[in-house]
Amino acid sequence: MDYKYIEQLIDSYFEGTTSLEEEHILREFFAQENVPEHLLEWQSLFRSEKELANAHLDERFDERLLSLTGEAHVRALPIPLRTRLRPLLRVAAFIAFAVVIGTAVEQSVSPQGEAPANQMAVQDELDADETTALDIRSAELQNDSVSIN
Amino acid sequence: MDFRTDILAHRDRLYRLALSILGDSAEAEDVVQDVMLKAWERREEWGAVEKPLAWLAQMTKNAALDKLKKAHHQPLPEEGSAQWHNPSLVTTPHHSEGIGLITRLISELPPPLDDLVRLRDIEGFSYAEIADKLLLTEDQVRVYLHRARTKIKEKYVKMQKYGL
Repeated sequence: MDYKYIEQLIDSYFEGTTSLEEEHILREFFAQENVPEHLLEWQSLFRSEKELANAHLDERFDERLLSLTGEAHVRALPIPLRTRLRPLLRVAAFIAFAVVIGTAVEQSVSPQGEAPANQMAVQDELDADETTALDIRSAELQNDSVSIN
Repeated sequence: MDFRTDILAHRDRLYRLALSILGDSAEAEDVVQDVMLKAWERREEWGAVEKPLAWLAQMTKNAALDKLKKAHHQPLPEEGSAQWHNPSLVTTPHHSEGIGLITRLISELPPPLDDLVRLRDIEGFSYAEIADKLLLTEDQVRVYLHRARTKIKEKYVKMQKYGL
């Protein structure tokens, strides 16, 4: 088998001219078991790079960190919609209460408050009419009495 | 910024960074944990952090180098102690031989060549991304990468031939 392509890639790698894809090909090539003898000298290097590149922490690390910071508890308790809206509901309830109270007070004050001015005017008119009628009637009675006498 | 998405999400990159400096998986994990807890304690500063990964990576690198420095200054086992009689009891990095090789090769590179190799060969970043992270031009990245890999090759060949 011809390994010219791999040999060229190794040269390019050390010159710093390989692409990320070509570097991936090199690491995969050296990760296999059947590497030709004349290329074996590079196997440890590319395997070592691959091993470090794949190193990672697991979920237990996340759990430990979240428990140490207390973030786990904060996240574990979702806030219900009713609780989130509670301040808004309180304001709405207060406004509704204020409107009801305001209306009730207004209605209870109105009959003896603003209305009297109009009602008094009408009453004055009625009084005036009554006085005039009485005066006319009195004059008529006086005329009648004169004519009898 | 959010702890899970902007800090915890970078755990593996930070772990590999610490591992590439310390060469020891348990020590590297401790460093990442300490850094993340420190980042959590400094959460009032998050608003001023533009690039969370760069911020965390710098803290991780500093913490790992501090740890390495302290490890180098560890006193020798006392005469007559268990470690003195049995040197294998002295704490040594428990990483695999594979990771130890690349860790050693990277650690012998001068800055910024060490960071450049970490970003390219371990994290798989493009030249443009590396240029952005290290405040270099893409041409500089190519030149430095060539220089870094030449040094790695020389050192690696010596290690293979003479076990140095």
